[in-house]
Amino acid sequence: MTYQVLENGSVRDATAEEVAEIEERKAAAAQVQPAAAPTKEQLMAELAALTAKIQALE
Amino acid sequence: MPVTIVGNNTPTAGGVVYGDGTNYVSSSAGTSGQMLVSGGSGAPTWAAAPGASALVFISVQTVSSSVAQVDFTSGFSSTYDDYLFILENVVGPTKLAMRVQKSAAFQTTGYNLSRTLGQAGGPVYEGAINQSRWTFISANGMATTNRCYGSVYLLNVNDTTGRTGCSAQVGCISSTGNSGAQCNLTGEQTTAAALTGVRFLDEDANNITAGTFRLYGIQKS
Repeated sequence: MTYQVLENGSVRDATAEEVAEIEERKAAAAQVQPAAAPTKEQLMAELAALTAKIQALE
Repeated sequence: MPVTIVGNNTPTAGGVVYGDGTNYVSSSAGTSGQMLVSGGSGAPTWAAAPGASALVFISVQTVSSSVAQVDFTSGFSSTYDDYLFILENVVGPTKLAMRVQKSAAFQTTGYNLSRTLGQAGGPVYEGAINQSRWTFISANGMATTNRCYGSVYLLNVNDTTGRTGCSAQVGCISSTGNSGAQCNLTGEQTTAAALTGVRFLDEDANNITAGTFRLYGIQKS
């Protein structure tokens, strides 16, 4: 992937070293992305599972 | 009475003729905007006018198409020890950050910081050493459509003992204007060399899609 850099008023292509550093940052950011919020269906399934466990204890 | 200018009889452009007790001599021209200050019976000198700004505009960069980072690699010298960046309407980054160039390389370690973050959920204080950059927006990040504004002072930039200072006040506001985040950061960059450049970037590597970055030097006296 190519990246552009604005340097002293002129746009240039990022150097190979800069591209590598940008890609490293991008990868690090992707790793710390929070998990997506569970869907309603997933929550209902979790509720059903918990309900079954509670009933098993009664 | 004939007036003779000592020297080659060609008056200095912009100079002022004054008497030295023996002859009429011409002062230097000074710098545009300066005013003449009496030297008593000595030569008058030029000096900044009272109330004149200590800030000297150096350069501006405006992002008109998406870029990964904005670099300032000229404009830094021994003329100024302290610099000011003004950031206006910077859009795109989720975590706007800065690095400094020393010894011909943008440093990726050695950023110490103490900062207070104002963000959704309440303010947070953080202190950290040897970071890879100074980041001005909270760990929560922000939307890429938010607009950032702020001022960043870089201080003591010609110091070669690893004490380049940073004092920043940067915030962002959402596109709808009803939310945002703020950062008040004090930091040091510890590489033992003078600063020669500055890079603005996004910690999350999003493009900077808009914004204006102005660089000013702060007069030493």
